[in-house]
Amino acid sequence: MLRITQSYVINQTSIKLEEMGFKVIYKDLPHGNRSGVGIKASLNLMFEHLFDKSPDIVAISPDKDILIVEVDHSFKKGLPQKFEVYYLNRDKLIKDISKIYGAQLNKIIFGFAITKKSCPKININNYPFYVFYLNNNSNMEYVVYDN
Amino acid sequence: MKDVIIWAESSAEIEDFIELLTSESEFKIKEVFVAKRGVGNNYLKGVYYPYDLDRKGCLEKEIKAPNFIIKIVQWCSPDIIVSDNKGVLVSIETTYHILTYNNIAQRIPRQIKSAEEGIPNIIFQKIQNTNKDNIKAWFTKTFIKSWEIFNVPSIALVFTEQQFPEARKRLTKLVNSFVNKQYDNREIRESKELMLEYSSVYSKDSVLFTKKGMNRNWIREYKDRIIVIPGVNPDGTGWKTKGTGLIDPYPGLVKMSEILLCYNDQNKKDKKLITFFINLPRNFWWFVKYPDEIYYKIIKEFSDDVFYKGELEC
Repeated sequence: MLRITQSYVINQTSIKLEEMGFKVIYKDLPHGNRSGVGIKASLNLMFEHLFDKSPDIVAISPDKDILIVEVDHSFKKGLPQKFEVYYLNRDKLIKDISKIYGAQLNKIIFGFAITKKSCPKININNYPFYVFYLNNNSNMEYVVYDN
Repeated sequence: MKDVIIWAESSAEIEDFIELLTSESEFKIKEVFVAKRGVGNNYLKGVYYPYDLDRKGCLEKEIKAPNFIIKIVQWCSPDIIVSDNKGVLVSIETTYHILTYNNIAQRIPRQIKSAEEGIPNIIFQKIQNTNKDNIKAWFTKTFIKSWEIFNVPSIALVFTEQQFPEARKRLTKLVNSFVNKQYDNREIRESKELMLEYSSVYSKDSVLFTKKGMNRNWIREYKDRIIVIPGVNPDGTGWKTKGTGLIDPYPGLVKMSEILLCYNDQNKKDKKLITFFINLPRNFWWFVKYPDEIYYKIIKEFSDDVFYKGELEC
């Protein structure tokens, strides 16, 4: 039986995103190399410089939007503020990530992936927000709830 | 194609490693086990977790690693250990943090441990540029000396951002060589030549003295001993917030100093290695509370003697 760890959720959410047509350009797995080469290195440097931390996943949508995903055990206190900080810095993020990615990107959208089998109630209404949670089946796949 | 078993530090490391290998790899990964699955780990005692490569996750159950794995992770787990059923074939460390004065020795012990056990080892290390300088010279010289002392390939494969595609190919070929127990071929010789190139500007004095000829704060040389002086202070929140206290950069510095300065030209150890915690008393609370914390423990293991505040003058 698989153990649901932060790494597993990040990996499965990335797989789901690729299935949905997103291009995952950054993953921050625990105990892994945060930096790297190319786009990964540049994104890591940019996020560390701007926020002193990196999101768990950054992906580009088929419509050329930037999706920032955070992963946690629950949608606890502090997480809405985390997204708010990205939102407040959206112009800078769009400009810098477009430059790093090498294409003009449109807007920032957000997602949250949870380690549980149910979709948490999330009160964020001012932007598109994806929620990824564990499907209650034996394959332990992630599904998405788009509000 | 040879079947291998991978012992990775974490699931991130195995995923990175698979992405890093090129299509030229000549081995098949049969099984994967990881040392760190979440919070807390016990790999020093051999606890590993099976990893499902298809589903990209660890299993709930745990296994006990064979002794040949336990032995080489005692100075911290390398990112990747490649083995077969009989023993370790190669250990690999990959890092994309640019090599700097502050992190130069951080990953040295785990690779030297492999060398000491007769295991070929590779550190895949990103660098800022191809200029020859002290940092790259100390780093590459340490692995050249390790290769000579332990008589097994110890490779520092350094690369810039631009050199990454080529370095990646070289890494795959080196792993192929070691998996097939080839310790001397063109790829290995070329890697050594590259290390010799960077280490050509090495001088012992550059380790001991600053550019202005002053003693470096952290090291002294005497006729029969080298003294490494961790300058770490008792203040600092890290002692309470970090599991490793504020010790983590120092085991590497101690081991690097030993390899570079305690062995003679015939690769025999002819100087003792002393560690002197100049600012921390022997009964410093953290030392008393965590006498077996891994970084503190290995400093004591690396050193012929350890002294504390007020116990030595130098």
